[in-house]
Amino acid sequence: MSDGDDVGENFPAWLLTGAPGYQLAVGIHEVQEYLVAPGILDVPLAPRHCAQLIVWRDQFVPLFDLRHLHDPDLTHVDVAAPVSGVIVLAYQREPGLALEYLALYLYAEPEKILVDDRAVATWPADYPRALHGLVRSLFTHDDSVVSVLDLAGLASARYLNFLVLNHLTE
Amino acid sequence: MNPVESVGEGSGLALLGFGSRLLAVPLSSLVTIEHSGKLTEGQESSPGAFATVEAAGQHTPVYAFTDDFAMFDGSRYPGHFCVVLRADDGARQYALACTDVEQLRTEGEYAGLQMIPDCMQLPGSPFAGLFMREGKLVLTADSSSLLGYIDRQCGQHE
Repeated sequence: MSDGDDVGENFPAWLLTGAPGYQLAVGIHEVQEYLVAPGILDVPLAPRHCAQLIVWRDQFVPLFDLRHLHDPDLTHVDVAAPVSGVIVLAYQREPGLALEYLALYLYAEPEKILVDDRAVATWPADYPRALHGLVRSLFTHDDSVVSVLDLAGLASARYLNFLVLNHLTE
Repeated sequence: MNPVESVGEGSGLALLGFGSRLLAVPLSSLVTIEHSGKLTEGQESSPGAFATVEAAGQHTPVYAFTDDFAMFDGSRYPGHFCVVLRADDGARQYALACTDVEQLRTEGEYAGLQMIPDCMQLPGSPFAGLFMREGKLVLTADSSSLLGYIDRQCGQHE
């Protein structure tokens, strides 16, 4: 290899379909378990993008439906979109703190991919406003834009406050 | 608020059923449990109340919740019980009609009580904690937060 060759690195990741037409990638180490038919508990008076829980390994784990952040105008009529399963992800609020967990509805089977670190994507003009502030990076995979999200941010009270103040949830 | 603190040391929880929903409040806020036969309808002066009940010498407004914790706004709530609660350090008294009521006096009966995750805690929600009991989700709230929620809901309906 000569100096100046543009050789990037490939990183393994899981490609997740968090909403129809919306893909995100998470690190291999972040994925805890993929559940095809978990028991799901409804929580009244919770925001519609996170209005359910699962009980996973004897603890409550909030279950997110990113469709409501991808399209805040989604109506109840659309709610019956086919779900492939639920994935449990681990995150840390700060380095050194204990792992915490959240779950996401998936709208396609998770797929293991290699991410080329040179495949940086530019912001699509129509990127969902509700998810904008959570994006750590964007890359392209098979001609689609894939997001890397701040999972701790997604699960934070600060993010919920942002959604409420901007009328992006109810 | 930490739901464990709201329970009070060793005081336990009152478990109220609203159809398929379960709500637990600190037993320390419970004044009395009345039978629904003691309710009087048609003399309510408090917005959102569907009945009144005489309890502890007070004319007490009675409210009820639907399955999704909206305010029940009909008449003849299909529950047999009426739980009278005090709120705001005893300054106010109100009652909740419910389909079931049970007293949980030992911590083992609400083992696994956790805070509601931050990401689910919408402003204005009265709920603070949750636990599982016999395969069902139980939400916890303190009596003053519940009354604040009722006041807001009923104010919106005015």
